[in-house]
Amino acid sequence: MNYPENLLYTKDHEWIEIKGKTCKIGITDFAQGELGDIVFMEMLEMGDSLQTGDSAGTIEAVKTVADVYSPIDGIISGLNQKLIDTPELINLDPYGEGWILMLDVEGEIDKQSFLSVEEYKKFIG
Amino acid sequence: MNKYIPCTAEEENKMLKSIGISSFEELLSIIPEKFRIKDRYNIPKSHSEIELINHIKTIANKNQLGVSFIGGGVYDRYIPSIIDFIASRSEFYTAYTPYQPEVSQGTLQYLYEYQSMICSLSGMDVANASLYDGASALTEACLLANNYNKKDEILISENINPNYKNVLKTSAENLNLKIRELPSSDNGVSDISSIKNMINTRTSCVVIQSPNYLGQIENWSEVREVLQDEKILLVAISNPIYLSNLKSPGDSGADIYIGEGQCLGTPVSYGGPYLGIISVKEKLTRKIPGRIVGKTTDLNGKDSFVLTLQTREQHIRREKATSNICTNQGLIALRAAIYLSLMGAEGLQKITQLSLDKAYYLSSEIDKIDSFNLVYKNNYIDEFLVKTRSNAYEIAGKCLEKNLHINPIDENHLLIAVTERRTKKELDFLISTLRKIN
Repeated sequence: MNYPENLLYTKDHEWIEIKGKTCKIGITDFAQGELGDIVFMEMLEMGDSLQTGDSAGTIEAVKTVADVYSPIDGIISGLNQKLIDTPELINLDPYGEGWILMLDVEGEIDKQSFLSVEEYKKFIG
Repeated sequence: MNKYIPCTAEEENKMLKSIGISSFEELLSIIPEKFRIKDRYNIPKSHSEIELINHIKTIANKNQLGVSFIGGGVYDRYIPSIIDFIASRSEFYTAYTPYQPEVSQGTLQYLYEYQSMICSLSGMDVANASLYDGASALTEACLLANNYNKKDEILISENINPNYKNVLKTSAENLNLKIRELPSSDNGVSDISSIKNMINTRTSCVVIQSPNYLGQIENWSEVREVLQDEKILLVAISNPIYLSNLKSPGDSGADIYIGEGQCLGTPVSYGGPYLGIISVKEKLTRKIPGRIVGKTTDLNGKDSFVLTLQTREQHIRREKATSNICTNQGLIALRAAIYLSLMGAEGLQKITQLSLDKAYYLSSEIDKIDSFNLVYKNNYIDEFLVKTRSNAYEIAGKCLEKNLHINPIDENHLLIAVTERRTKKELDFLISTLRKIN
């Protein structure tokens, strides 16, 4: 399994890439593997405002559904439109083509509230 | 009796002991004394089969077969005998939803065909494998709208079936949904001009029935135009029989269609079983409640049928599912599928025309009687409202003495439905009976 060094992680198995005030969010290789074949991605809308822990979309796999949880407070500034027709990109390329949404964050981002790659690897064991 | 009780006295004692009480009576002591039956049940001693059959026959003979002009949601329509023949075959005759496609291809296929016919009639993209009845289907439709746009106000036309309103209100009360009523205009249809003032940022859906409870045809397309905001859903209620004649709900801009499917080959009876029909536009596929049968191919490339999109359902999506319904009304949906395939679009049009011709004859004759007035002269199909000078309940009572069943909806109005089953002789008998009451 692949866990890029440049990303931060959460205990809900999301990854976060921080660029300035914008966070790009997806689910980890571990999470996509657990879900199995992903067949549908239900997304929110541009401009929706999210609090940490809110559902930021719903991933539907063949046998189950799972929410993506917002790792931080923010406003949706990007949605991966490719997932509408090809949700399997989350399985194929979870850190690249399979990204899910972008959030614009107000104020300082506290990187300490996330897991580093080592901490995440330790968490999933 | 012992063999029907799944534990021995010894096992019972063991269980009682482990929860710290000494007798079964003590377990029941929490139930207030006044609710406990002290003596034996007051039921007569057992009968032989012959005695019992005679007894039941005596009761059954008290039934009198009447001629029904009652509508208001359920209709005395002709049921071709092949429906009973096919539906009672042991391969189909089950109350259960099929979970295993390997052994249920026949059942899944008829449900798939039922769904396809409902979509084609209603102009929608997806239908489920049925719900319990029209009233509960409306509640499910409103929950669906609420789940889709997260708004909590439902605007219902004053002219929808009052039973549907009551069922919806009962459910809404415990779900924090707010129901408002769109008033009726003087000509018996919803006052579309007041919709604009009644909708707001909390409006989830607008519910319009056509023909409405008073028999009048409403205009879904006009309602859709007024709504503008596509997030507000339009829920169309209609009797499926008429959908081959009316512009379909889907083509009129409705997002959800619901209806009562009893008229499609199932007899009228107290409390059902009836058939809840629901179909939706594609954007709502993942929100529609209940079971959906899909068509696919097996390993050998042959057509096969499966329950599909189950991740919408409560056993997988848990509290985020639209509904807790994980079942359907399979046997009644089978009857509807047989009925619809027998009739086809042409047959449904003929039934509607026959009923309409008879209804207009009856209504014009009743209108000629001094103390009866047809309230709305046109714009109905086969159900119409009559204003009475004397008490409508008493009139209905007098008709009942002649085995004619008519429906008083308040002290001064009768709602009269005419189906293709009513003969000229029956219509004339009702006319002459009402004339005498005059």
